[in-house]
Amino acid sequence: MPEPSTLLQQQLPSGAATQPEVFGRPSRAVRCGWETVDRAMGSEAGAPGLVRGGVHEWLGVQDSDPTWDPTWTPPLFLLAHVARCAVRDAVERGAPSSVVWIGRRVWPYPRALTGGVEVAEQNRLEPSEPDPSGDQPSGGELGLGLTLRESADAFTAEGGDLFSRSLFVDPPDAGLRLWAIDTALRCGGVTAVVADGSGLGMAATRRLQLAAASADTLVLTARPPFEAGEISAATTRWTVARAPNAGESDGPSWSATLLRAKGAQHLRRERVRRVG
Amino acid sequence: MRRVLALHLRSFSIDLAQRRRARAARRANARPTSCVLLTRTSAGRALVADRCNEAARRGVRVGLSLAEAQALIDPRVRAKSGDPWVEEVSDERDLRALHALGQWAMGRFSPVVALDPPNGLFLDVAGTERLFGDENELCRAILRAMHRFGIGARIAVADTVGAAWGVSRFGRTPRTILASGDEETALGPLPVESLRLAEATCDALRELGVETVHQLLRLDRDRVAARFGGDVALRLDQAVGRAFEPVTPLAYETPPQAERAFEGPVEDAEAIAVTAEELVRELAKDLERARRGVLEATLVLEPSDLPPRRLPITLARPSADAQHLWTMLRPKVETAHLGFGIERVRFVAVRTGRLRSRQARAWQSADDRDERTHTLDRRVGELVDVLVARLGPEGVLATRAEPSHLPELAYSWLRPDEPRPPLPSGPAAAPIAPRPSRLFTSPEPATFEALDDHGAPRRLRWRGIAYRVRSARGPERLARPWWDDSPAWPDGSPHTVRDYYRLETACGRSLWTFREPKHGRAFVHGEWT
Repeated sequence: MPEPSTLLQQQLPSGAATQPEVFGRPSRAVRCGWETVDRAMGSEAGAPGLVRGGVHEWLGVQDSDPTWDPTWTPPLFLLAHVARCAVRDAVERGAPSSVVWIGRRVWPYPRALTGGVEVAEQNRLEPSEPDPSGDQPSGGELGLGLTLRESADAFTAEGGDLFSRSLFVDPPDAGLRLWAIDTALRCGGVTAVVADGSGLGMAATRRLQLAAASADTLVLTARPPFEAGEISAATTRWTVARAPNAGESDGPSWSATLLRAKGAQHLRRERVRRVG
Repeated sequence: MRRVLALHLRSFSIDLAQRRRARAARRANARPTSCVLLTRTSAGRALVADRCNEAARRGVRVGLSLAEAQALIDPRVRAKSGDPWVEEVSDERDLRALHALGQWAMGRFSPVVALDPPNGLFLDVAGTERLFGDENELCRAILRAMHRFGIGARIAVADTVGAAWGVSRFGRTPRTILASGDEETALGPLPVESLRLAEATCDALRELGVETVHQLLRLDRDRVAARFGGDVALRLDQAVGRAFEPVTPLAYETPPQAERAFEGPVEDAEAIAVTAEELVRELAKDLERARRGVLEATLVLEPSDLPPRRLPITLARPSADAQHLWTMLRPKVETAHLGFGIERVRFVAVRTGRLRSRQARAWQSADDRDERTHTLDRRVGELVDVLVARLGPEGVLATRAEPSHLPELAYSWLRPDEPRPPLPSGPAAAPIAPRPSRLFTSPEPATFEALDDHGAPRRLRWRGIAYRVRSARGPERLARPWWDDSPAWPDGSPHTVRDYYRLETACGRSLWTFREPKHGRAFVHGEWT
């Protein structure tokens, strides 16, 4: 059921940026509440947001000291936010709404799930010419980047949902991890799978992508940053970095940059138009 | 010849209540309460029907009203370990427990077990004592097991049911073994109640000065029968072995199973798999008709040349869905070693549970629906089963919020099939302050430098790296509760108070740190990642 505002925008010729939902068909994407992402990603899929039947890879943050055991950190805060959005979306649709967290590395502190994991978009990173030093996060090759920070109204958010719908799975090795993700996707009662995606090769990601598409389930995988060069069949790949915000705002903030998106030629076109 | 072992469970209902109390405490992750009281409602008042030793020591007697009994328990004790555990006496529940205990004993100590409600069992142990060494060893094995269950027990072994009963109740030692023919001498000094006579008869005998069995035996048989009825003579005869006394043994409940025998050894894995699937379907159909579901099942493959091979499956919730059972069993059947061929295949439902009625689900009320949102969806339940079968029960977890403000104790892990109460309102509903997305298993030592007015650092040294702090929020003071004697924080720190700060470093990290104000030690406990 389209919201009245969507109908209104549809009639207005100027609202071309927002894509209207297709009538009579349920939305095939999860709105994640970040306008830049929702608008840009949804335009090909027909609905705003991250495509539901797809694998979305998030490259985590490299820890500065490689001698410590977890040499990279998955962007748990963002993943929890997207998982919460998926739950909200599933509840609205009346679909099953469990979330499975696979791999101990991506298990968040459970009480963080009971509230306060809202992440809001702060500003859009404007695309620029690639920085040779690679220090400054920019819009990336596809021209889609944004900084995110903990939302100010995080604690008014209704939080019990995700906590009580979460299932935590701890497979001992990468093979069983892949099997567990696959099994969870085949189950049919799961709306989102958040998994540790380290060490999954091209064949594995392809398998997951196919399983996710047939199960119409959102798959979020966290991968170490040093696997950015690996090829993968994921629908989108994002890289996440800590964003030291010099401004007066406090609270943790991150910058997320889209590295790659299937069927997103329009993004590239747009970037060419903007950068010139 | 028969040898009867009488097992007397001295305080059966209280012991069962203690077990329930301990289980509830384990589930709630709390320490058990101090006393146990069983009540019986009479004329609208709750009266104490039974109490634990601890309560008895504090002067609680049977027949007091519940309010009086609770007043007797020291308020200081109650402040420390909570109110006493109070529940209503239920004879039916106790009988069910006795039946379960009888079934257990039948599988372990003797094939012939009879119930002696409300608090006893008879076992015919003629011949089975050899499996344990001798009768003494058998009795010790039973008493050990009862001790493990937390059930107080006394045992007597004799040739007759009557003697074993009397000695187990009124004998001097908790474990008595009477040689054949010793019944009369053993019963002699015991009170007349040991003959299982009606209370009125015992009172009448006592009024005549007949206190012990010995005195009763010396009286003239016919005149006793004429005066007190034939019952006294019959019980005497049964006790000393002059009259036979039948007991009704429990029937052995075979677990539901389905079975196929081949004409000769079959080596074809596919044929075995097809047969096994057929058996699973057959048994699932039978179970569904009885509204039971499998909780634990075993597929037994009997090769011609090897001992039987068992392939067990365990489920999180009762299921009679053949497809689901087969999904779990198939990988095991496909990889089973068949040896020189399988001669017989058996599928046994070792443990079953009651299936939720379908009708109830179709006509659920709003309350049911609320409750169901916190239990598992059926498909997720099946997913849990499949994952648990492969990863083990520790590999699949769910969480429950706990009413604690200590970060490590604010939640607990539990098996996904355990029912989760809805999030309680109040302090447990949501954290008062933001919590990090990653909490380290134990706090990592750090150094705070250049403290500001609020005690927050301007520089932080952690894991050998110095960070410049851009902004700090805090302190949020957390203290472990002083009113229970938990000696320390979950990580072992003995200091009571911690001041938590949320620090933003100049490089963009967001750390959850704390300082122990008394000691000045600083730690990093978590991070917003």
